[in-house]
Amino acid sequence: MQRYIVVRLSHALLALFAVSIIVFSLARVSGNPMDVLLPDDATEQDFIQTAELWGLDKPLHIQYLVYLSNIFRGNFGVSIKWPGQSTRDLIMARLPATLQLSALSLIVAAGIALPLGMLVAVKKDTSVDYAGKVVALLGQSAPSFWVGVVLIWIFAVTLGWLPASGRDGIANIILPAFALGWFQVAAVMRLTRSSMLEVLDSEYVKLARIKGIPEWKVIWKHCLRNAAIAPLTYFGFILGGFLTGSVVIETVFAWPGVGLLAINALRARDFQVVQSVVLFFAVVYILSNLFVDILYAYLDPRIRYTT
Amino acid sequence: MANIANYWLSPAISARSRCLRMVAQARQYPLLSLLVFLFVLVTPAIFADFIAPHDPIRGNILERLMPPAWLDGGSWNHPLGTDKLGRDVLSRIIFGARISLTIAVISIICGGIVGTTLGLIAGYFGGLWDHIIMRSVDIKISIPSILLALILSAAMGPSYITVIIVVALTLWTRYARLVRGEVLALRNQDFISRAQVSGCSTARILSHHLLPNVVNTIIVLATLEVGVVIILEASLSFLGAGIPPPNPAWGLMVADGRALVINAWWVSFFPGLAILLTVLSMNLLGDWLRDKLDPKLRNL
Repeated sequence: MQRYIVVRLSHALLALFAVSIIVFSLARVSGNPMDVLLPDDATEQDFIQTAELWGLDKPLHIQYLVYLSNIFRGNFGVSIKWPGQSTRDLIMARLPATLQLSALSLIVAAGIALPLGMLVAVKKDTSVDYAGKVVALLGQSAPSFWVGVVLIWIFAVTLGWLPASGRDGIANIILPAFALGWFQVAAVMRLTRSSMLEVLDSEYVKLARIKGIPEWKVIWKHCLRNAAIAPLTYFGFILGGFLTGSVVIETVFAWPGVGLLAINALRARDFQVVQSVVLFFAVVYILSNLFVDILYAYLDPRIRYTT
Repeated sequence: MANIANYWLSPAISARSRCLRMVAQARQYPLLSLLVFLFVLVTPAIFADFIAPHDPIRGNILERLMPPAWLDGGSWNHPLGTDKLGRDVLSRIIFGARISLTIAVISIICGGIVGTTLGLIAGYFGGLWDHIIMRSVDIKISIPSILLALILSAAMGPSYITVIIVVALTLWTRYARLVRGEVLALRNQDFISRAQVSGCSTARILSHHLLPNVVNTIIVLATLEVGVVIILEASLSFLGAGIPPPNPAWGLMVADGRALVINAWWVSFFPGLAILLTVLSMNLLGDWLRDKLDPKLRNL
């Protein structure tokens, strides 16, 4: 177990360093980092501030060390578009919104995919099963931003049941959460179906039926627990997908999260904010993958012996 | 096609069940999927200049926001309506097919060549090369493509090159892993050791003996990847980190229409539908091809 943890930790550290190097070099690839780090309407004061912060007058390797030390101290730079605010403050202010959205879409995706997957497994080869396959096919082929826009059109514009954007009340989170969770429903549903089919064939299910336990109890009490293991582990792997998917969905629904911050900063050519958000997301992504890997190695000892 | 006739003539199956079953088993009718794919993507892409009724970039402001032809206020001059600058939606979708297809072909070729080469090297030589290449794959996988596209277009500006670089970088890792797995299985077989003993150069072994055996896998992966590429490119264009305006990229069109969805739903709906149909038919085609060529890839 220790060896596995050490190996995975070293991979994660390597990945983190690689991300920092990539972000660092992209800002300086055009020769003059000022062109990238500052937008056109930057003032003289901004120039001086930025040069001082990132050590732009020093040689490249010193710049990288300055950059790393800034990152470790939590100083990600200052924003030009939102003057006077450090990018870290900007991110922290918007982080709760993104976390809410991701958490709710995870629940929505699990809540739709698991029962649906169980249903199509129980009713295998009937019209319910085929309908499920069609839903899965469509779910994987429709781009999430388009699904979001269509949902807005149906539920906000045509029916008027739900608001189209913003974050004013409970109703505002429903459409974005559904649009974000929808993309994962198809894959999880297929996984649940195959996992459920395996469980339905097993000996203890046969015994339960022979004992005369009602069918609904067999499915919900005995099969669900075992069939849910595979899809739930899959959720661990796609946590990162929710994070990056939130960038698109927040843009569609104007949900004031970290993703929308990045897109607005991109449009305003505020590179320091974009850089911070990318670093932040990448670190969260890498660390969550590391955590999930170690957790599953703990839960399933067979994994400890794979590299 | 005889199966369809049997289904429809059989009285015991309800109509609804028949329809659903046919759709779900569409993967067994690759011809249909291929035709949809050709219709939606390839034909318009190649013959856009001849097929599209209007110019995709210059629009007639007087005809802005016209609804599709079958609604009030629409005309068959603009069958799918016009956008806020008076540009014909159908023509833009047709030219957008060219953009999607170009990006897909170039990125898959670039990513495929790089990934296959690295996979062959990693699988055949093993040891340090394998280690380096697989660690690079892990590093790349740790960085989500959308974030990479964001940082790249923030540094270089959104453009065709940005999209191709991001997509090719996303794809190469899958080719590398897959080809490496295949080569590991083939490396210990007799025909390789005979080739080595008979004095074949390494390059020759890789290109003449190993590569033809992994070609099936590469082709299947390529067809399965077209859908991924199209959705990725559309997402990047939607965010403003991909193809820049005024190019008629499908993702860009959905982004434009997002602001107009209250009174002009068609500007977003039809480009997105084009994406859906293309990706759907490509997925079905890829599934069929995989079943025919290399069923081991079933969990891909």
